[in-house]
Amino acid sequence: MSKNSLHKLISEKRCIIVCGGGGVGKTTTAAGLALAATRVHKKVLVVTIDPAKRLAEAFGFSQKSLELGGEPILLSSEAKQKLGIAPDAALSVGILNPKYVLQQVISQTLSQEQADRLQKTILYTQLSEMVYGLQEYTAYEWVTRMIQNGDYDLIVLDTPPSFHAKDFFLVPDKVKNLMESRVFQLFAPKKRSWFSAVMSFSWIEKLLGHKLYHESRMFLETFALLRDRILERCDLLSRFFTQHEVAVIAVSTPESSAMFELDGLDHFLRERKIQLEGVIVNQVEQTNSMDLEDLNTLNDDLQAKLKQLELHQQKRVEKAQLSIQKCRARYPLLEVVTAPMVYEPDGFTILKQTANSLYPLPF
Amino acid sequence: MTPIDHSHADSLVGNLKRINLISGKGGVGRTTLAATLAKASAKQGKRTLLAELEDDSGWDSSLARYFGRKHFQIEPHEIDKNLHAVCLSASVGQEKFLNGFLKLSSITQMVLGNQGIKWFLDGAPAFKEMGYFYHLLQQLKNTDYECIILDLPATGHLIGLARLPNVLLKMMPIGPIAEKLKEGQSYFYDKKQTAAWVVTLPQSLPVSEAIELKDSLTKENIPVGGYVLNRAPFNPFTTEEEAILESMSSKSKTHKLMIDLERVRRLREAEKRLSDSDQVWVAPETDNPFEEESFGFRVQKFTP
Repeated sequence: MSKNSLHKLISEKRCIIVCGGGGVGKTTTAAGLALAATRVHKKVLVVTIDPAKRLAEAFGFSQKSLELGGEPILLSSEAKQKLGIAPDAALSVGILNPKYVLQQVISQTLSQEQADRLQKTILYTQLSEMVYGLQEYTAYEWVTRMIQNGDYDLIVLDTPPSFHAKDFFLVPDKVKNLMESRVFQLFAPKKRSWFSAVMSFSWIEKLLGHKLYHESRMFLETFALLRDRILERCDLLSRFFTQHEVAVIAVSTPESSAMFELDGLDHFLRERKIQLEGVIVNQVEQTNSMDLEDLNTLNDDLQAKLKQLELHQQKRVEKAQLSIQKCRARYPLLEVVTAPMVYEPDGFTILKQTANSLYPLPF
Repeated sequence: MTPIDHSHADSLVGNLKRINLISGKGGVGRTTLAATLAKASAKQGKRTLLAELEDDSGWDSSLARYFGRKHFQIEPHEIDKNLHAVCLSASVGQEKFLNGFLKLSSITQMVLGNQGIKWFLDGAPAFKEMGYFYHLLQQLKNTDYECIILDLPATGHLIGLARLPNVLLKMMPIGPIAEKLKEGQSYFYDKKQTAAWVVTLPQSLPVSEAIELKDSLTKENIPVGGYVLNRAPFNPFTTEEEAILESMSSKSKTHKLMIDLERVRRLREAEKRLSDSDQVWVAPETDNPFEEESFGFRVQKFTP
């Protein structure tokens, strides 16, 4: 019964956004969720950024396709078979490459000449590292295009790694602020004459030096041409999270720092009137239940050491259970699903185990 | 527990440089480590500065939380005996720089009061990092501090800060900004006084990411002090004992030993991979490292 609501989200939503702080196993959880969703839907897409190598191997991807990113890749029938996906269901994986998506936005919006000019500036080559929120913004650009195209029954979005889980939701505001930060208006063609009359750029030029000043200016002038398009998308994005067909779920671990992060996310989402619809507590330690009869052949010293280790594990398990209890008490209205710490060596098994713990039905 | 060696020769605290850049991916316990190291350094009697980058989303600082505060302030302030803290801010750095450049703060105020210039500094890529860079430089120059510990939230920040001087110097090799960038480089590249510490966990993916991070730091000429292998599980076995258990485990159908052995195996593998690449310090797994008085000193050098 307790798993009903995650089932419900999988069955009823068009898009599930998986968020959480660093190191909680967000990508594996998103992939496991997408895998589980192939039991309900025919066409599922999971969008991720910088997927772990092991996970990529489990999906049967080459290193090259990972580096390129680009359009979603359909899982081969061989990979599907290994993962236990029904032959008539399809799972695609989209690996987000912000440069690729931005390239698309630019070629749709700017003339060839403008695009060339923009991409030639040193600042553009630094853009993906320097502009906060670009990864998140491009993830959204991509997902909305996929939803509009209607190619998939369900899209699971693994949010890009960030300092805080909530950073993803701040992106519309941040990008909007950036585009509205008048530095772009300063260089917007129609306003330039007015501004030039009021202020002088000579201070900036003196400070930055001639070359950097002109680089910056050319970059900003051209980038400003993307402004309207990006602003319009930011408005859509703000509304996207609250749409009925979109669900936001959070991944945490029993670690206190991860739970602190979860509280922060929940608080933040409430303020924004975005509803958190589920919590997955990942990497939950399991009891080891060592059978000491097996170990009778070992010497006393080694047996004692094993018992000591067993005690350590028991402590970890108790700590995790306490943390989960607290989490359930704190979010009485949310379903808190747990997924065990997986000690499997290969990606296939990890994905299948994760999918099974999130959606406990045999494949 | 082993008694604490008073010389701390093999502890991480005993090997800290004057400038310490604590880096690593999210979830590896980097902030906790930065806080415990700062506490331990101050306890040794060193005048210590703990610094972090301003998080402009206005969220409470998880570093300041350890010291019972919501945030650190933008000027260094005392938070404990021998221990100061500061929150590095891009806009403060920009203002301080302009002050130095324009000599008179009244002119700075006028320039910053000019919306056009303010917007330019806020919005143009690289200028924000430049602000952090300058604010940090101010602290590094303060000789009162014998030990500076900087907690760098995302790996991108450290690489961004490290790369900034090179990128900008290409565009403007001379001028007031170039001077400051070169001054900053003289601190960052100096092996004698600076070290970046890459925090990671004994699991295969975090280890790979740590090695990648170390390589890119080395490429940017930032001296790396070594890896800190955090939350290392208790491992009482000798190599021979591990071999015995390993063979038992593979024979046993139930694999009941698996979790414990897998944990130990991962630790061994992480130690090996990391120590092949650089020096490794091991931080033991514990409930609440910050509350443990001696934890900072228990982070010990790994010897293969």
